[in-house]
Amino acid sequence: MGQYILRRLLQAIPLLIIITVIVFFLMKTAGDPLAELALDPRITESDRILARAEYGLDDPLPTQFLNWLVGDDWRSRELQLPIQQESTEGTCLGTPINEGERVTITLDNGTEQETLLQNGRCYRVVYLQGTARGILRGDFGDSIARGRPVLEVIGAVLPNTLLLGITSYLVIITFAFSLGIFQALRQYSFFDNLITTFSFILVSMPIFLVALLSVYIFAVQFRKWGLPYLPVQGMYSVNTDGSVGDLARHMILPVFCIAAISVAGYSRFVRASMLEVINSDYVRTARAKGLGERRITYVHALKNASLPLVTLMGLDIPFILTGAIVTERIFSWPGMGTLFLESLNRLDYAVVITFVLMLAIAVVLFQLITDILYAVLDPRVRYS
Amino acid sequence: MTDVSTTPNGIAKLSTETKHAKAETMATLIRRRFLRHRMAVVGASIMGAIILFVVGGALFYGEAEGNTPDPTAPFVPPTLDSLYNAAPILAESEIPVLLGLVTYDQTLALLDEAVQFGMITERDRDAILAGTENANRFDGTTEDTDLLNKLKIFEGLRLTRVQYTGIANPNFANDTFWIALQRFNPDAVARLRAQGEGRAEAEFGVTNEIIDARVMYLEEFKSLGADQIMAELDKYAIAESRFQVTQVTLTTEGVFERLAELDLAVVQGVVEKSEQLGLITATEKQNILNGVESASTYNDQVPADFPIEQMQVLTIIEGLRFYGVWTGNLDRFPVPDRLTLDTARVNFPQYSDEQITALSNFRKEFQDTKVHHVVSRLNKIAEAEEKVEAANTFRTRFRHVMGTDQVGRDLLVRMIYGGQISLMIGITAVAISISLGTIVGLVSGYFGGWIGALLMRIVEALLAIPSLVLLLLLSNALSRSATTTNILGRELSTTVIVIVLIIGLLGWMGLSRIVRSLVLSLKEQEFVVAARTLGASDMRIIFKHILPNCIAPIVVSATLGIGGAIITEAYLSFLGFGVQEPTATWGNILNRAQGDIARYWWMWLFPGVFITLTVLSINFIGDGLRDALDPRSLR
Repeated sequence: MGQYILRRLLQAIPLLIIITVIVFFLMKTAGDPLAELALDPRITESDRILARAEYGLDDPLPTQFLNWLVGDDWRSRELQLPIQQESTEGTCLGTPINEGERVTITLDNGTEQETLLQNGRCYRVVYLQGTARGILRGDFGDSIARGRPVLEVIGAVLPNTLLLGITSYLVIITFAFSLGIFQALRQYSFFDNLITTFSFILVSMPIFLVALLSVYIFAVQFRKWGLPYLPVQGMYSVNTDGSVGDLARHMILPVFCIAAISVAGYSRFVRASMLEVINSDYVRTARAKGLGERRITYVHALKNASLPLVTLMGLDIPFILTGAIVTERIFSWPGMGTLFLESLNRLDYAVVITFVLMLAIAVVLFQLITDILYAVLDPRVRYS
Repeated sequence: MTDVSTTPNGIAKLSTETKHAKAETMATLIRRRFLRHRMAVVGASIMGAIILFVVGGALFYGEAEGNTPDPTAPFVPPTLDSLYNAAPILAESEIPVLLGLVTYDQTLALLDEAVQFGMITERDRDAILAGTENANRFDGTTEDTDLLNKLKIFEGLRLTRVQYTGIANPNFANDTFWIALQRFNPDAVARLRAQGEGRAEAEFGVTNEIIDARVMYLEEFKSLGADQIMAELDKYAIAESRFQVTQVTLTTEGVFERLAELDLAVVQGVVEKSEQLGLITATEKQNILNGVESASTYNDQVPADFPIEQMQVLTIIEGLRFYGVWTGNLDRFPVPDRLTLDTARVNFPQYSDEQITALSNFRKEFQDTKVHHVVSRLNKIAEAEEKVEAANTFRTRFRHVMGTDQVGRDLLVRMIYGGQISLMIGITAVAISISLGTIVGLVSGYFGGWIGALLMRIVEALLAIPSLVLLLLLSNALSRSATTTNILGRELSTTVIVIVLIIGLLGWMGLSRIVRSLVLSLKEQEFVVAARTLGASDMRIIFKHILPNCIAPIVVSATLGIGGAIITEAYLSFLGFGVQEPTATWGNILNRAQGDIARYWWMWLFPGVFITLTVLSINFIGDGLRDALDPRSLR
């Protein structure tokens, strides 16, 4: 078993590398995150060049990737920044200088500056020391849009999404199983058909429709009808100071939206799985032995029925994030989904790449955990 | 009896027979077993209805109507009025009743006081009394002249709310009448006053005396019931705009009065000067003076006894308008006292400095002679005529049945054409997906070995990232530029192609795994072994023996994939990364509904319901197909 785990982890590494390369390439070709600097007339050309160089955007793509991977704090680059003033022929900043010659000029404030005259323009020579250490050393870069380290930016919103995701997941498990078992025990009854119909419709709905409908009904219309209504914006109300109850109220609608569709889908699976198990031989034996119905259902049948579901649900954990992206946008929940969309829009490649990498690692880990869990739960399964 | 399967011919016959038998069984199976599924039939009918809506609706409406904004009708809620073809009639509305409660003198007093308190200017008042804005459209709707006069004033006051050509109230920067009134409601003023001396003044930016006077005016206004009159006029105008576009004619535009002020010689001089300055060519000048293009334009609007000289003036000015002398050429030049040469050089680089000054002077002359007044009014008439024509081609029967969006585009038309795009995206993306998936599955299953393993590794890699994330990344990279190209004869955004490609390229993984496992089991079956023994090449075996037996999961996957693709496109468009404007898709329309979902519920409900119905029916059909083609029950 240990060998199997190790093998899987090792197999995951080239996968992660490929994913990183793909995402890096996609983000870089999407556009230039510092493009709007060019539009602001107050930013001089030398500032622009400096900004681009600081973020490493003027290197060719493979170099950028390498820098991002292993960092560039071992290199120091020379930058030539154009000096803005009108220069007279043969002089720069008042000092006579020849074409192609570098001269160290002392400025008024006492600092020394290396100046270069090239093609008739004066340049200020600056040596830029690389500061990135690369992700292999734990430095995930800075977010261009926010100017703070990526890990800090992500760390600020990750708990919010985890809160939403874990709560939704628990809700999904509880309700999917309860509904599925309920339906299986009362097959073809009125409730069974009702829930099946609802499930069908819910599964066909896009998640934002569920969200919009629930917002419309529970927030807007309830308010109009004078019933207690639910808040729809953000995590906390503006004028309270963050009590747990307030947070819980804000979480009701988003969790409901994320969970609703999954519950609808899974309850059908649970129902089908339970039905299959209930009609099997060993359950019949158990009944013949005289065991109580409840023990049969919840101990024998459920355990065997839940095996394929464990796989399914285990694999789905990272995909709850997909639902979260849309839901967070509608409910203005400050989470990873909102961060991702914003960063995409502003071409903040560092955040996006780190985010996708984290997601891929999470998927790989959860796949592994699911497989192990499957082996643990089902003694018939053995991994070499 | 000899065992058929051991002789060479027998083997061949056996394999083809089996294959044919399998295919025949499948077709009849689909027919018989599918139709036994109630839900599948229901699904198929819903799908049929949607396709009918999307295709048939296009026969009623041109596509341009869906994408043409209509600024007079933004945010109109869905209404069934147009079905009953009930154009509003003045006599049947509340307006005459309410107007009966006010006398003409009171109305005039209201108008004068509005000028006195600076809510409208003197010029506004003159214009209102002359009825030069659309107030004259009520002419002929009733015989009661007293009613008409009062109506004219009230409608004129109401219309000062909209942009009143270039007249800005100097005291209250664009504070037109209705806004000025509504801002000074007594409760707000009282509240502010209670908060402290001068707060009302600070809040509204006018002195306390003026505020008091306006509040008194407001109370008088309300006591006469005038605010109700205004509200009724608003409703009437909206109802009217649904059925006809107001006809604008020479009379309503006050062209005849202006013509009377003009002298033929002056106008001819303007034409000459235009040619000298190079705004028109010599041929164009001759055409204008002889009325080649313009003589008959307004023949039906001019009364029989119209003076000949004025007719000539009209013809020449129409000629000037026809050749665009005012719009596009001259109207952008600043008049001499506001001309800065630097800005002018930047904006009109094709003219030299002298030309710029000359043109600027000419523009002032043009304005002074009041010729441009006539030109701009004629422009308005031409615009209105285009609108009338457009409105007449737009079937008024189902107008605004689904409401309109922020810029006044009718939602029903957008849903029809958006539906076409959505469905088309779904089908095309799935076509790409199943082709790729089938090929990859066949190759990796049949040939196995390192290529099979490699392909499966790629599949796993692609499945490791949630598809929405990958789609967003790809869309972000590829669809940042929103150009339009001509696809199948329609102007569509290039993002449509991008979306089709990326959804297609990310949806094949599931099918490839299913096909692969199916191929692995089929590979060892007797008919394949038999075919190989007979010397059939690999390609032949794959395409003639294995592939026909894989059709079942492919068909099911294709059907369910269409639903998935439609939902995926809706997700992408909803987040803003899908198909870009002006091409409409269902997801696109939903995207624009995010502003105010409570008030404008129709903008998200209709696309959402349609998407749900489409996917629901596809799921039903897919389930029915899956049961019908279930290999376990083929025997």
